[in-house]
Amino acid sequence: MSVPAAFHLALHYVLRHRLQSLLLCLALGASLALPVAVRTFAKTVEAETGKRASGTPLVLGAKGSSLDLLLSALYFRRQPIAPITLKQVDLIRASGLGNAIPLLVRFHSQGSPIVGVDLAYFDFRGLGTRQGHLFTRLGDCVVGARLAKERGLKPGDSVFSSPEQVFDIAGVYPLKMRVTGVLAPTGSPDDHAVFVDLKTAWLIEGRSHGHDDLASSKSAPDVLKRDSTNIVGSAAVRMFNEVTAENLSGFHFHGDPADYPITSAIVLPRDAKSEAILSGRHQDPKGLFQLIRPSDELSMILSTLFQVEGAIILGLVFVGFAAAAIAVIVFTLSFQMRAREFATLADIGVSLKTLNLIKAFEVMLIGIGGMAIASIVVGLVIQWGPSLVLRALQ
Amino acid sequence: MKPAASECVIRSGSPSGVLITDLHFQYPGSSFGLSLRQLELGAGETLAILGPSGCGKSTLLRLIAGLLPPNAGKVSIGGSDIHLLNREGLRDFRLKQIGLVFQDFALLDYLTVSENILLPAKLGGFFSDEVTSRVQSLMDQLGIRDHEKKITRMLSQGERQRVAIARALAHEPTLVLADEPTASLDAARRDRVAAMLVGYAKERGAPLIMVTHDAALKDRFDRVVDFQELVS
Repeated sequence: MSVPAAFHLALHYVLRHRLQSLLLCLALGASLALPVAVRTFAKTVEAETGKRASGTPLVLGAKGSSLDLLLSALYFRRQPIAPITLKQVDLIRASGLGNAIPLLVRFHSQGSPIVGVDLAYFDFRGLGTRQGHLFTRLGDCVVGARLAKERGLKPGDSVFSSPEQVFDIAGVYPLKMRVTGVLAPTGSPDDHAVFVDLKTAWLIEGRSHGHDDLASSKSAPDVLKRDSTNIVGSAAVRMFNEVTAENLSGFHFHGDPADYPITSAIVLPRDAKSEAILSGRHQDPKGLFQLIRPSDELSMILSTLFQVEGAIILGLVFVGFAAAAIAVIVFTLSFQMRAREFATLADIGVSLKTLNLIKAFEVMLIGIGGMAIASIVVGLVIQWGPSLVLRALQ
Repeated sequence: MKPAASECVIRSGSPSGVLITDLHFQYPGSSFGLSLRQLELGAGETLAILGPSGCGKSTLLRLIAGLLPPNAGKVSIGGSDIHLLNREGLRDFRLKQIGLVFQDFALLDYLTVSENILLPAKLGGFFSDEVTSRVQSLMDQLGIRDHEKKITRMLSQGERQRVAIARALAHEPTLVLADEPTASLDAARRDRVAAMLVGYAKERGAPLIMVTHDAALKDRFDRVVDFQELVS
């Protein structure tokens, strides 16, 4: 018996029946890969979401869906959540129980979330710039690493906020923002966001505006009415859609900023006791606010996900067994159909051991092919899974 | 317990003879059967068995090759009764000692010409450079060298038949059994192939038994028998 010859004969058969062999490999590969890939993907979801949640102690927001609040505050998903006011942040800070970082996640720039924050957010997340610097004035922004790469952005470039809807002519108008920096990559939702100061976010919202100086305007069409205390501008007054060094002083806010909206606030309690007090203060079922612990919320969501995953894997294992049974039947039928070929080899004088070895090598080669395909699929899931999860969450 | 082939005193290349005595065979559940009282061939002797199609010539060859077990009788090759060997021993004996040309060629369609010819030597573990050069020479003699790398299913019937002949001779068997080896060949090639088989038998001292219904070949053989006269 010659083992190499038996292997070569099996190899020749597999290679010269490529389509048949490839189909078998794919069927085997898919049945092997699917349960592993689903498990790997679920683990990736758990790891990626868990990282962000465990790094965020508490989130304050309006009463409503805790999931929506979680997705908005941690993953910058523009969820339909009611706003709270900046006053809530001030109250927490004033209580001495901890710090709070306001977030306004309402607008976007070509699909990328525009996140209104204050500078404390960057310290909290450990975000630093790879190029340029953080925003320094109204109308500035810094962009995440992946967004910068995708759009080819660098300091000095501009990005526009996108209108909320094209049919609302009187709605939020696009603001041209100056990119002052690009953040270092973190593998988190921060990589895909446009960060602006809260005031800039309010500017996009229309809480602030800038226009031609009517006090010094000599142009009659600009002024509808002028008296000693008040000047009423006409529709001809030019509104600024960009903040520049020249027009910066022309921007102004109306009303008390404490009453301005934010979508959520990340709360950083001073200690466990402070956390317990803060949680207690926001447990009133009739209250207007909710204080959630992201890791707890996520555990609840993931436990549901893993129940579903368990059912899916069980199903896939059954599919795998079915595929394996089909593969056995296919091999058996194939060997039966090739009975004449094996009889020929036996007639020539090839031993039973060698014939069985040839069959075993064929099964082994197909098995190796199937495992290679399964490995590629699982490898792709490991390679691209985290970014897919992050994209799905944004 | 039946002995293995290695226990038989037959050496490749040594002169050997064939002795068949009181052979009787009947297909189970069939009225067809054959009986052969005695047939003896010396080393290098050539025998043509003539007869019409379907009379049992191929069955006789399969009995001599050990592919069918007889109901009674003895087939002795080189002094050993091959039907006393166990199944694996018989296969090993056939692989190393017998060159078989099947009527349906029995080639593996997905292998090339050279791969088919070298298959017994490779699977039998006696492949060598010497075998390779012998195969090259055989392909030249049979006019199939140009098709060496072609898959055999791409060949004509005549070409396939010549590949089957080359495979039968590649390992220098001590007995050649050929079942209608010239059936698919034109007259010129038929004569050349017959001459080649006879020449091999004479040169190596290997008995040749060829079954054919082509009477034009009978002058080339030492003995020619009518199948109907040979068996009862």
